[in-house]
Amino acid sequence: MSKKRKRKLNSSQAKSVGNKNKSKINKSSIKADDYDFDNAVYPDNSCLKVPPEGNQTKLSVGDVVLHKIGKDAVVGEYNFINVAVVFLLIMIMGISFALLRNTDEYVENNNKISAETVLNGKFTKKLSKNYIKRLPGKQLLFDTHRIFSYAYGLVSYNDEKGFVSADTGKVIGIKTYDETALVTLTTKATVPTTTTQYTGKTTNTTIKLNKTLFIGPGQLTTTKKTKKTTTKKTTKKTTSETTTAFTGTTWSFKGTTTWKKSTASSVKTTTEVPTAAATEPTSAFDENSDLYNE
Amino acid sequence: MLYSDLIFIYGILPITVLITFLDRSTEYKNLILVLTSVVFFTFGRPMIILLLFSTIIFDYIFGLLAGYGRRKWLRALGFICSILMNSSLYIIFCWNSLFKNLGIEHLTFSKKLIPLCIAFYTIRGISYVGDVYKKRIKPEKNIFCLLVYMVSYHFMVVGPIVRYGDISEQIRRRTITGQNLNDGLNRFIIGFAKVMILGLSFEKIQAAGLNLIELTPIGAWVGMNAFIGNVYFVFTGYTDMALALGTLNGFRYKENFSPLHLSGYVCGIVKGFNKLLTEFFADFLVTPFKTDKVRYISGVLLSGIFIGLWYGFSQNLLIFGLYFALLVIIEKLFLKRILDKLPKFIGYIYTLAAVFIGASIAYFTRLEDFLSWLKALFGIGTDYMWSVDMRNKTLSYLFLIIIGLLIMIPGFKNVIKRQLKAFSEKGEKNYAVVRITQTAGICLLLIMATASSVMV
Repeated sequence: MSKKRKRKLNSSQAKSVGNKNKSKINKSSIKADDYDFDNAVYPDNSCLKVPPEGNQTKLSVGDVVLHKIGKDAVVGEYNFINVAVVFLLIMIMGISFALLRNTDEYVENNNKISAETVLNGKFTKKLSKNYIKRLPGKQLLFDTHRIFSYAYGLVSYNDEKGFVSADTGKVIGIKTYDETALVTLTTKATVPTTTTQYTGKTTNTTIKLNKTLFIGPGQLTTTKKTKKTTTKKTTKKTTSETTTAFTGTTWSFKGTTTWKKSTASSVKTTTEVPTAAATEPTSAFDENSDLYNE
Repeated sequence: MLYSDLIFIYGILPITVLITFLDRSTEYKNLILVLTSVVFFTFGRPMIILLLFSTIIFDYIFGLLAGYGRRKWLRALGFICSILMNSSLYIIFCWNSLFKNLGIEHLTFSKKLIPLCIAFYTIRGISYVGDVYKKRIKPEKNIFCLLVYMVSYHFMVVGPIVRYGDISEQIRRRTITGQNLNDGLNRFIIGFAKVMILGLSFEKIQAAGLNLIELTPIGAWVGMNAFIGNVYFVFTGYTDMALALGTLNGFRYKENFSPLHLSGYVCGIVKGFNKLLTEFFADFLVTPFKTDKVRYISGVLLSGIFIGLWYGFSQNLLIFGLYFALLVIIEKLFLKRILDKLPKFIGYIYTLAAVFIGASIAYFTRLEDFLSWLKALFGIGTDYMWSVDMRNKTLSYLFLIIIGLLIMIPGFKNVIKRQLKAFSEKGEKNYAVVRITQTAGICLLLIMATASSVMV
C-alpha cells in the first residue's frame, strides 16, 4: 500500500473515529476538566474553540483527540527544528575547530600535534612516552618487565651478574631500561629480494618494512616502519611477503605493486629491490635512555 | 576530560549521539555508553582502565556477598570490604597531596595520572553495595548492567550521585524520543553556558575582589558573593550537563539542586544544594538514628565532616562541613522555632549571613588570610573602598552579574516560564515565535560559551 493511501486512510479513520466519538459524546460528554488545558499549545487552532480554564462547558472526545494530535505534531515539528539547527551548528563548529586546530601546536615536551604527526603515529608515541615517564612504581614495572623478558628468552640470568641481555651480555639495570632500545633488539635482517619482469609499463613499487616487538601481554609494543618507493616498468604484479622471527622480534616485509599506463616497449629485466638497512645489534636496555628516569 | 572540553562537545558528544541512534536496542545503547565512558574516563590516562575494571569486578563480588551471604556477618563483610576498597581508592587519588606531605613517594602521583572522576566512581561503588546490604535493592547478577552504572560518564564530573536502584530498570529498558533529544541538547547547552559564561565571569570578579594584596571593603563583600556565584554556577552548570547527557541517552536522573529558598533557613540550603550527596551520607549516618537524639546529633556531625572532606582534603573544608552540621543541629533543636516566630526578613538575613560565612570558610585555606578578609569587610586596615581592578571587572561583567542574580532568585525562572507559556498559548504564531526565539537563544549561548571556553 502506498504511503499516500495509508495517510488518507489514517486521516479518514481518524475522522470516522472523531465522528463516532462526537455522537457518543452527545450522550455521555466529558467535562472540560478532564483535559489538560495547561499544556495546550495553541487552543484557537483548527477552528477548535477550547474553553478557558475553569469553564465547565462540555468538550467532545473527538475534539480532544484532534487537539492532542495537533498539539503533538506542532511540538514535534519545532522540536525537530530545534534539534536539527543545534546539531548542525555543533557539527559546523566541530569541523571548523578540527580544521583550524590542524596547526603546529605543541602539547607538551615538544610534542607537536598536527595531522601529519597524528597520522604517522609520532604524536601518540611521544604522548605514551611522556605518560610512561610519569607512571609510579618504576621498580615494580621494571621487575615485571624483566620477568616477562626472561620468560620470553630476551634476557638470561647469570649467577654473578644477575639479569643480562641475551644478545650482548650486558647487565640490565633500571637506569638502562628503555622502551626505545627494545626496538633495535635484533641482528641483521635478511629481507628477501623480489624479482620483477619489465614489459614496458610503469609501476610504483612500495616496500614497507614493519617490525613489531612483543614482549608479553600488556607490555610495550613498538612498530617501526621503513618506506621505500621506486618507480619501475613492469608487466607482472609482484607481491612478496616474508616473516623472519628473531628472539621476541618479528620482521615482516611486504612489497606491493600498482599499475600505471605506459607506452614504452617491452623489455625483460630483472631488478633487485634494495633491502632495508638493518641496524647493528644494540643493548636491549639503552644506557642513555631516560624513559623511566624523570 | 570534562564536559566543558571542546573535544567532548564538538567531538565525542555528537558522534556518540549519532552512533547511539543506529540501533534501537538498549543493549546496543549500553555498549556505546560503556565505550564512550571508557574513552572519557581514561582520556590521557590509559592505565586507569585496569583499575576501573578490576574494582568493578570486586564491587560485583562484594554486592553478591552483601546480598546473598548466608550469615549476617558475611553480608556485613561484603559491605565493609567495599567501603575499604573504595575509600582507599578515594584517599589515594583524591587526597594524594596527603602522601606528598607525609613523604610517601611511591603513593605520590603526578597530577596527570590522577583520574578526574574517581571521587564519584568510588562513592557509586559504596552506594551500590550499601544499598544491597540495606536490602533496598537486589544484588545485580548481570555484571554488564553494573558496568554500565559504574562507568557511565553522565554523572562522573560533579555528580549527581545516582543510586543503582534509581536506574537499574532504565539500564535494561529505555527509549530515546525526539523530545529527549530536544530537552537534552537544550539543557546541555544551558549548563555549558552557566559554567563557561556565568561561572567564569564570577570567578574573575572573585579573583579581583579577594586579591589579598589589595583587599578593600567593597572587594571583600563583592568578591565573596562572586565566589558563591561561581560555585553555584559551576556546580549547577555541570549538573545540568550531566542530567542532559542522561536525557540524551534516554535516562531520567533525579535532580541534584533545588531552588534555594531562604524560608527553609540553613537546613533548606543544605538540603537543596548538591542534595543527592547530602542524602547519600544522611541515609547511612543520620536516618537510622533519628529516634535517638545523641546518635542523631553525632550522625549529623559525622555527615558534615564527611561532606566537608568529600569536597577536598583540607582543614578549612573540614571546618566548613562541621560548621554547617552544627547550624543544622542548632536549627533542628531550637533555632527554627524561634525564627519562625520572628518577622521573615530576620530569618532571611540569618540564612544569607550563615551562607556568606560558610563560603568564606571554604574559600580561605589559611587563618591569617581569613582574618585579614574579615577586617577588610569593615574597612579595617584598608586605604580604598575598592581597587581599580575590582571596579573594572565589576563594570565589565555588570550585565552578567545581573543575569546571574536573577537566575539565582528562586521564583524568577517560574515567572518567566509562566509568561512565555501564556504568550505562546495565545496562538500558533506566538508559539512559533517563542520556539524559534528559544532555538536562536540556544545557538547564541552555544557560540558565546564556546568563545569563552576558547579564550580561557
